[in-house]
Amino acid sequence: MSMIISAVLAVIVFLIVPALIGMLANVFRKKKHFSMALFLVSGYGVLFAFFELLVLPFIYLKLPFTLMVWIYSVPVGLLSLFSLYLHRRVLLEKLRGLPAALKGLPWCAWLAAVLILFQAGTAAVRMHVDDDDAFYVATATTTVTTDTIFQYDAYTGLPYEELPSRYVLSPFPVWNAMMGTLTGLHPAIVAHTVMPAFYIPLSYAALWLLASWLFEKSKRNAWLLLFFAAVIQMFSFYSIYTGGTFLLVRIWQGKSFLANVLIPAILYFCIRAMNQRHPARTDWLLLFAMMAASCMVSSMGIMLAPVALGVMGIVMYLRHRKLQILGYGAACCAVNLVCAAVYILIR
Amino acid sequence: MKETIELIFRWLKAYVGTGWHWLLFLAAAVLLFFLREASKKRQILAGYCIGILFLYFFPLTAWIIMKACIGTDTYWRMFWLLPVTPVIAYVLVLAVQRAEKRGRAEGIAAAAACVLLIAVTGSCVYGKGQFTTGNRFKLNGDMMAVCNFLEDYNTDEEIYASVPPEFVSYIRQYDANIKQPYGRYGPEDWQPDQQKIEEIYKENPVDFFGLTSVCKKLGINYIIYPHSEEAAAAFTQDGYALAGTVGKYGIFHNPAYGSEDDNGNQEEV
Repeated sequence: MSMIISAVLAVIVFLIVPALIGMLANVFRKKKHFSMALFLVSGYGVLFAFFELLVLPFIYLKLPFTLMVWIYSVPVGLLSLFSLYLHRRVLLEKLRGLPAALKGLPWCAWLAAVLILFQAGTAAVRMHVDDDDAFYVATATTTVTTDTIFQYDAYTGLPYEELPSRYVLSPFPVWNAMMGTLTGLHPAIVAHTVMPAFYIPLSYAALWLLASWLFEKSKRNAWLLLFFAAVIQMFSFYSIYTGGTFLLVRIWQGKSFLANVLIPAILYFCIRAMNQRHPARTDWLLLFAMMAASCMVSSMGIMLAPVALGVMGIVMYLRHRKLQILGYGAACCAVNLVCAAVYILIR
Repeated sequence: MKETIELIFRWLKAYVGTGWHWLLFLAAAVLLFFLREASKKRQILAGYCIGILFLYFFPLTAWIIMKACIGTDTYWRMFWLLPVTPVIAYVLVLAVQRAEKRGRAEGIAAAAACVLLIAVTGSCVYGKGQFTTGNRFKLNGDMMAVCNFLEDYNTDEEIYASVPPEFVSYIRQYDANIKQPYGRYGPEDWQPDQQKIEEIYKENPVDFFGLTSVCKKLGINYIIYPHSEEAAAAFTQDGYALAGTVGKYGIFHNPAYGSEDDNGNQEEV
């Protein structure tokens, strides 16, 4: 029974809450467009950005983990309920239209869905042992057990003499700990079983955004792109360094989330924000959220995400010759710059 | 600068590994310049790829990124910025689209050929020993049983355990109440004593007395060791009595250790 409750809670916190927050984040768009992939990806961006900004003071002030969970969860929960209330009609309408929408899907959509579900299911059911979890998962378990954040060495359990500079600015393991607390599951189960089930499809949601931009007028072609992408990821084990390998064997680690969800999402929101004559403010804000989220998931994200944004910014500047692109782009990197400065100070 | 160039190509070689997807990507990226479809979008994608490749290969930017941003050991992660999967998939969709203009059967044949091409030039992640069967935790069952035993057996002591090498990276993923003298990379002030424990576990024959003396020195109250009569006799003689066995492991306990002072330091009672 408790496992069923945990499973329901996992669906709520991993799927429904991010989608509702994403809907809320896109509520000010003038051109309304219902895209669950957009809502999910932007929801995660906003949730991770908020988490980054909230947790860092908790770490430095050595405040309890459970207090952080409350302070984070209550406003997020209330905002989700508000979003549910705000979008109740459109959600009901979409739910009613779901069978018809599914019937209208092209063959390649079903093939893509089967492959993605197979990949998520395999990662969730089967076991892959990765030594990096000695830090990532053990940090989550230590956080829950000691009710502290980054005060005890995950490897040994002994108190830290100084904060682990490489990881402390990217508290993704604390997110894992919080998900464990909210679902009543052990952090090892959250990381190794629950996260792959949700995050592998999420990475395809991010790719779907790029696909639907590339094939704006043909959903069928966008689905075909997604199908080919799923095949490519599956056959990317020619080296252990590829994004596909990281996606399919260890998506619960922040660096893999960065490579497979946030980098494609950053490219997409760069294009949305920079490639329009009158870009929506929402797109710039979501790009800012994605950049902050990249700091939250991995110390690599602090550095790599601005590189991606910078290159895309230059490409777009050369196309549109608008200094605003570079200015706003730089502003979106604010959290990354602060984290980089702090990292240099504490390392 | 020579070192930077060497690193650029070393990581390139490591990243491309044994597959040919890099060739598919390069071919797709070049095709982006020549295809008629959606020229503005292709320009953006191609421009971005060129920018990232320039940053990766140009020695000065590579040096800056290695030294000031992400480090030399992880420079290969720059490849994560390349949209390899979407670019290959995009060009393949365009190829299928063109084939479909000749007929539906041609379109399906082209899609099948594309899948075959991806499969032949890559390597499947499944069936290469990447995955095994496991429990919900995806952790070693014996290790979990040992942890459960320790939690049941132990009453009010801090558990400070010396564990076999196969447990070191995983035990605290399951039970963070268990402390250990060293982990995968730690502690930061790595002492010869911790190192000695690791070495003794790997020795054959094992220096049981050496192990117990270091454990006593560090205030370790539990030793987990593959159970044998020889081990049990040696540990018992030296103050670590057999508390129980779980699977092939013996759990040895010395109640003289394991209390804590206010600073979290272990000390002999």
